[in-house]
Amino acid sequence: MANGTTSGSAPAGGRMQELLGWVDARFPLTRMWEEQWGKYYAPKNLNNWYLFGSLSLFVLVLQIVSGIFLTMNYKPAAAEAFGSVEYIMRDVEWGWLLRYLHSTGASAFFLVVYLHMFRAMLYGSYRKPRELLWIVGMLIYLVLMGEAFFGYLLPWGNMSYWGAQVIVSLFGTLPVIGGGLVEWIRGDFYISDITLNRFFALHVIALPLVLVFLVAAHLLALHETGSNNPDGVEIKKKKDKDGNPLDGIHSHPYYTVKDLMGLAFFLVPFCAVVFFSPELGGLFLEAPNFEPANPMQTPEHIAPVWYFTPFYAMLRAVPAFFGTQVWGVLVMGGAIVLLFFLPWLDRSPVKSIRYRGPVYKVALALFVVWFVILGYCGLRPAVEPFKTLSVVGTIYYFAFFLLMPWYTRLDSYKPEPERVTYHAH
Amino acid sequence: MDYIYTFLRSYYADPSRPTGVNNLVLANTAMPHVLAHLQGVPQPKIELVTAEGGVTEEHVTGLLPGAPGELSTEEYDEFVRDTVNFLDYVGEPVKAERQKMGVWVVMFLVVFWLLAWLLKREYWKDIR
Amino acid sequence: MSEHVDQGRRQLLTAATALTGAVGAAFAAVPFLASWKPSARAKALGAPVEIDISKLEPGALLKVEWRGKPVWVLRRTEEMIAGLDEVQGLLADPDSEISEQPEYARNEVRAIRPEFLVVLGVCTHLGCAPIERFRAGDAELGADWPGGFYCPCHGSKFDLAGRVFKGVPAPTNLVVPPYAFVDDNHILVGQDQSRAA
Repeated sequence: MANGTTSGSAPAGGRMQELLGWVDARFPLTRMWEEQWGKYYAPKNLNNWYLFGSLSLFVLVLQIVSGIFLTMNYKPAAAEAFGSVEYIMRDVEWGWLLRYLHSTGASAFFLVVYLHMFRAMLYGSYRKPRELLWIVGMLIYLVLMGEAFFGYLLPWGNMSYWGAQVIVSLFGTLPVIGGGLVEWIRGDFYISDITLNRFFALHVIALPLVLVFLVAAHLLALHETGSNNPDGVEIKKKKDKDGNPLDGIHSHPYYTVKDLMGLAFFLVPFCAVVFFSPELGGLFLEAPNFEPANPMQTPEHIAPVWYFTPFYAMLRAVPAFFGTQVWGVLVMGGAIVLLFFLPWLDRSPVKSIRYRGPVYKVALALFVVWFVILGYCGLRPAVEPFKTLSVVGTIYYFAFFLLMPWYTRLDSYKPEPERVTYHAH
Repeated sequence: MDYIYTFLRSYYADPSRPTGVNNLVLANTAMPHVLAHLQGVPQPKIELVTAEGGVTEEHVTGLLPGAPGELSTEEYDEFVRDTVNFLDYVGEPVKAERQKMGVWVVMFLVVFWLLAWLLKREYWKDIR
Repeated sequence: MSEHVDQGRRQLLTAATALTGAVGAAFAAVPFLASWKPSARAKALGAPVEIDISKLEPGALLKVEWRGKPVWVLRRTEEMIAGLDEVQGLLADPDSEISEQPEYARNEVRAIRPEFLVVLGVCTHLGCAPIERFRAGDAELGADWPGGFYCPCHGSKFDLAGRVFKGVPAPTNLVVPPYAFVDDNHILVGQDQSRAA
């Protein structure tokens, strides 16, 4: 580093070093960078499934930035909301792009998060010592669902309105407190201007703050335990003479460039949707939402956006008995609560799908199939064959998790390797 | 879009309906033929169709020219086409521009991805 | 790490990717920044305003809003026009050299037609609205006041052509917006004479 007497003629690089030293003496900038990314040792055998984490982070930033710009022209009032969205689409320069980025981003967020979660299930990333990492991740998912739900009311289209109506009514099925709770959530006797106003506050500030905080906690927890990898073996067990993992490589530059490649690859289909088909045939933006909210008329066919439909199908699969529909709500809630317990439900001696026996492989494959079927059923009207499929899917979903402690223990397995497997290409 | 175009060209006279017209595309539509004064109202072409069970029913299988309207058939088709195109345009005025722009955006991103991929491959040569 | 690394290729690819990424980021920033420009609705609301001056008495002032600002139309009397010459020496910018006005209003009367003064009623100091004190020797402004506009916020004074007097906080004359005469009875504010129909 340049000292005081030579600083006048120090090259630009020396000056930067000097400035960095000044900052580091007052704020752990270099240390944070090196611990969290620059010199963080990640397993060298991470495959493309591991791109969805950084992609989720990218989509979060995209949603926050596009969201901020949307609020600049959006009016959170029942009388003006729908019109202000049309104003954004037609009158604000580039407003259509801001909105399509945000609406497509919402679906993309769930897509990458689902794939990220599935990656964790493939390679046992939730297993000890990463239970808290998984739980924080699940909290992120939960908050994300809330964020999506509150955001969906904001355009004040007819589907927004009735979607909110249905979901809020779910709380009404709870015994004793139900009715009062629903009124408290709405702040009115129906979904009204008041409801819209508070959902807006939750969507644009409350939940995003929580989300950013949870994401920071998720990353801190990850970098504390270290990343899992497709072999499910701990790279920290085999260290070189300096105490660094033999199979670890610095995140920078190796995973910086790899994540960049992943981002570029993701952006191609993402932008294709934004520019060519932002409604994606009604999957991302639904036709009934192109007409304003009408408390007098429900859309002919009401379904949530695709990312909620697997759980919506479970809700509908459960009939009412003992004079209450609370069972469906409990099943739907239980389906999500179960995911929190995954680290303790899985009793396999190995983490990664690569060394698991046939039972788990088949069970996981069927889980994916049934989850997709449930999602499809949730999009369709509640008629046959979707009703029966929903029931079977719900049973499978619960059996997959509740029987896991037994079938994962009894399943055969292959021994894990000592070191991670990696073939340079 | 094509649907609305066809729909507006598929009205025919049907005295049994309250509106006096019916539609080939959407049977028993409640929407009256608002463009009747331009097109005139075509007459239905009715054919006897024998179903598999041997029951013979009257089916409307096509349209025959009816009372002429203010426009000739060609003029009317053109008018409907222009109207439907206009409706599609005002539905989202930026659509054409958006799609044209999208081609450039996607092409740019493909180039960027290619570079990022080459860069990744270059750096990962270090890893054995 | 490896000895066989082609540093040249590596640097080239890094530079190329960084450059492409920077170009992409710059393009991506455009829609966000451009969304702050006046929207189509703001532009429509900011469209030229037509003012009917047929009922404006000599010596009277008409105030109209255009783009959220007050536009003043003063129909000057013969004496008012004649008086403009006399205050010449008291003004900071009598020939409107550093002030804002369309070329066709850059004259002694600061108007297309001497009879009609069209200015924005916004003080060029800090944006207050000056008030009319047309009578010479106004009680409040003193016996030597020649008549004009007076800004209550910080005491800036303007003559009957909106020209600023010397020794007041306002630096320049009142702004003349683009305007045009549609016919003898109508002024269009917000559009230049040359573009008027």
